[in-house]
Amino acid sequence: MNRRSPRSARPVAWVLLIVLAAPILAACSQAVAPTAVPPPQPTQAPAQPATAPPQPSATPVPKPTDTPKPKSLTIGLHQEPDILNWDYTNEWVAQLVIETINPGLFNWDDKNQIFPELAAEVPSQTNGGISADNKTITLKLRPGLKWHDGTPLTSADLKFTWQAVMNEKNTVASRDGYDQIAGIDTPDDTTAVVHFQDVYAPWASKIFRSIMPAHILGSMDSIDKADWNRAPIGAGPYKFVEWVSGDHITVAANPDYWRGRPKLDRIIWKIYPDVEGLVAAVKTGDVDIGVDFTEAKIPEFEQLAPKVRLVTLPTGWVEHYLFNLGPKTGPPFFQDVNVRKAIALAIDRQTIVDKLLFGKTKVARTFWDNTYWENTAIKALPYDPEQAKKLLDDAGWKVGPDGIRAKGGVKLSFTHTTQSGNQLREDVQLLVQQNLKDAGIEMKIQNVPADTLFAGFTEGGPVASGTYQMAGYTDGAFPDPDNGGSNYWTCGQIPTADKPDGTNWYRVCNPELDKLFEQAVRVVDPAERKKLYDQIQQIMADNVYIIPMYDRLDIYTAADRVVGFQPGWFSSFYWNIYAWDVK
Amino acid sequence: MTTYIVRRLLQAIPLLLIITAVVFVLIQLTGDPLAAYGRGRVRAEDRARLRHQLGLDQPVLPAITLDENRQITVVPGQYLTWLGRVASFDWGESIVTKQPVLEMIGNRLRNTLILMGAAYVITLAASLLLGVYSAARQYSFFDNLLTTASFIGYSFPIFTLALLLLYLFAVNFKAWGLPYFPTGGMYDLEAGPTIPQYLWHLVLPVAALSIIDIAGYTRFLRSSMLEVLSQDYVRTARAKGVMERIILLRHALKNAALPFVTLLGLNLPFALAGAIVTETIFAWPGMGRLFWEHVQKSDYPVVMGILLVVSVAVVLFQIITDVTYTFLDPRIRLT
Repeated sequence: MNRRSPRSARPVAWVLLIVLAAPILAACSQAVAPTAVPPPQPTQAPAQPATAPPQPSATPVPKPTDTPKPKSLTIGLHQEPDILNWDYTNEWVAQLVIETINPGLFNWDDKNQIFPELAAEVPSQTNGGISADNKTITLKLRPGLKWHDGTPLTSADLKFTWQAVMNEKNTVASRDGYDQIAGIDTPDDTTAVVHFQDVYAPWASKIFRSIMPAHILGSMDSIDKADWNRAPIGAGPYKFVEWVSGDHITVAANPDYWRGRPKLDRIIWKIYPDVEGLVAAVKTGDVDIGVDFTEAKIPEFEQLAPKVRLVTLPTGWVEHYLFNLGPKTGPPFFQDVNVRKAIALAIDRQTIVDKLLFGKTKVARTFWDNTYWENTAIKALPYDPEQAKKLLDDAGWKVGPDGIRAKGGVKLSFTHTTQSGNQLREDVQLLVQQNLKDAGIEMKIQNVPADTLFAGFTEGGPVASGTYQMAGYTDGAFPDPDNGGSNYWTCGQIPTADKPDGTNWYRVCNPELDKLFEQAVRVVDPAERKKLYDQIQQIMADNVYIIPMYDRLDIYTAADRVVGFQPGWFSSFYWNIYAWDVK
Repeated sequence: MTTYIVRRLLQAIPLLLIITAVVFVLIQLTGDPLAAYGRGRVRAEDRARLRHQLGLDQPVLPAITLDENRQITVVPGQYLTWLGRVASFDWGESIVTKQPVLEMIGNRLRNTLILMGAAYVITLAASLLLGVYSAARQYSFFDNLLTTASFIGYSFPIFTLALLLLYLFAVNFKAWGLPYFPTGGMYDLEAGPTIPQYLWHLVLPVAALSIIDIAGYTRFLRSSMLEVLSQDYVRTARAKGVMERIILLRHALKNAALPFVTLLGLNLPFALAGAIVTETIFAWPGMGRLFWEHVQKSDYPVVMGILLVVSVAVVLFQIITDVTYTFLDPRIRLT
């Protein structure tokens, strides 16, 4: 017999309820308490040292006294930046945000033309910025530049940036370029004289893409854990305001920007972790600009006109198929240029571009497509299955009873590996598979997730360790043509057990190419340098080292209220962000 | 009771050690944090430098080597190094963001708890209500309706349901000029983080999380209620003329709730997994998303930190479940 009094049943229910509701109650009371205070736990911009009022009177901004609403622009990203220190990231989304807060000395416009941003001029031999031996570059800063906290930005900051990148205590993402510097002199506040160890052509796109403030970071042993990395003080058109992890990053107009106050009062980067979430936000108008979509979304966005404008830019990112050219790692028949050429001729790339990419791009020709360095004399191999078959017949590959060519007991059959779960890549792959089958070539699909595909040599990543036969992914060589040049295509960069971090995943080894690449980084004059890259591309095309598939598109959406959105793909999508406005 | 809880907590320690060791090794086997770090665009020398600076060149597990001079060298390995730091409440820094892991988790845990808590309370309330009601009115129109609805609800994958809700109530409702829900986030930036804003933004993600769970739990509770209602003591109570409401809530539900509580406790890890999808689709800045994003980057300090938090939560919930038993069933004694 249950002898509990009727009242005792209730505490049980209460205990249950309290146990289950405790987390939410605790969480809610926390969330709700600081309503008056700024949003919960964002990384706040450090208070300005002098606590100077944000100078409302200092710059008489033409602002009506009855200020209505701040001019605000929302940009949707489907990936969160990792960190806001240029030298600590390889992520494009992070660089997008950093450039508005903390730009570097130079930038590139939508025509891929370099222009001085914080520098006063682009150094050249004519203006005396580049020494006669090409080894010394004199960088001039614009006079009167100021960090967002009011401290002058000087050549000492440039020197400090170099030292910070080279400091053993700092786990920067890359020392590329900085490790070529022998020393920096700072004769005055606006001049930095950079002495390179050797002639180093790619310098402009490698060093001082963003500058670190010596007065904030200079006294730290290591800047890895500096608050500045997530709440930077820069000298760009917009000042950092807050970063609410996983939600948004806000920046506000910098009235002291050297070009003058930008037109927008603030920009918010809203983070949508899922592309579909971002697409929904584009449709509802929750974001003004949507950044980075896949080609498959093109028809969906085209329907949104005229409220939303679709922007597609063919870029220097080249989707390409790699032959594993290592004599020991790849299939032996890939050593034969005629087999490689036959495979390329058998693939109907134009149809892929027209059907799967909606004709918005073109068949790729070289690894340097759409850049200044592209050898425009090179034409893509046509779709010519007859010639492909003839080449293979001539090379002794005879069609067997199963429809697959063979020679000396070896079947013309190989695997193809790309990123699984990528719809476009898998669709293209199926078309290619059919094309090749028609020519008597068997291509077996063996896809893996992206993090496996790009895993390192020691982790057995198929491309790095050379266990793949044919692979497909996107890469490119810009902003400097050597960014994806000598490190990709030279013999010394082939990954081996002794050099597991080598990045020549093609396993191309051609001494002639090695020599040209080596020369090309030592020629500073662009026209002279381009001749070398023209030769390189010709050799690569003649040998069919890769199959350039198509030029990848940068795909954005912009609401009709956005004015001045003129993205460039080359280096900076935000090159003219100071001029953006909203209607 | 206290001894029992203390003993269970102590037993959890070796369990956690095993879990963390296995997961640590698995993460290291399946991904390379430096691979995700800029693909092939990172130069070999930078990779090698980072590998060394970040300690990734150390063996994962402790290693003892004997060199030719018979000198023994002991390398603690990455796992023990990590464990040592965790023990001293320094969970290390993320490889990609350089932030302290505890701070990163702290920023997100609160948001996940808000979302999960709201979903849990609603799921619990609704499934108790619906489960008891449909058991009491077995084969009524409402019961049949609920059965159909719960089968439909239960067979939805959560991402489909979440996307469906998003497109219907946020995108299409706006297009049709109806009142609509936000597409994502925790609050409108114009309005700021206020309670009404939180509640408004919670509706869709909580619905996505709850609908499927309610469907499952309702079925579960209904069948265990039916089982209890057919027992002799219920018939006795009815014969004695006890009010039907009291029979349902006091006699039957208390007994039927026992397996239900087990289910709730055991389902916590799955609930957190559901949060990964929901947080991702509705841009809710919670811990599930943080976990997923950093798994993709093989950022093991963050992944390990979150797994540790979840493992501890699972262990704690199991103890809480056990303790709740004693309230529900006085025959159970924990010693």
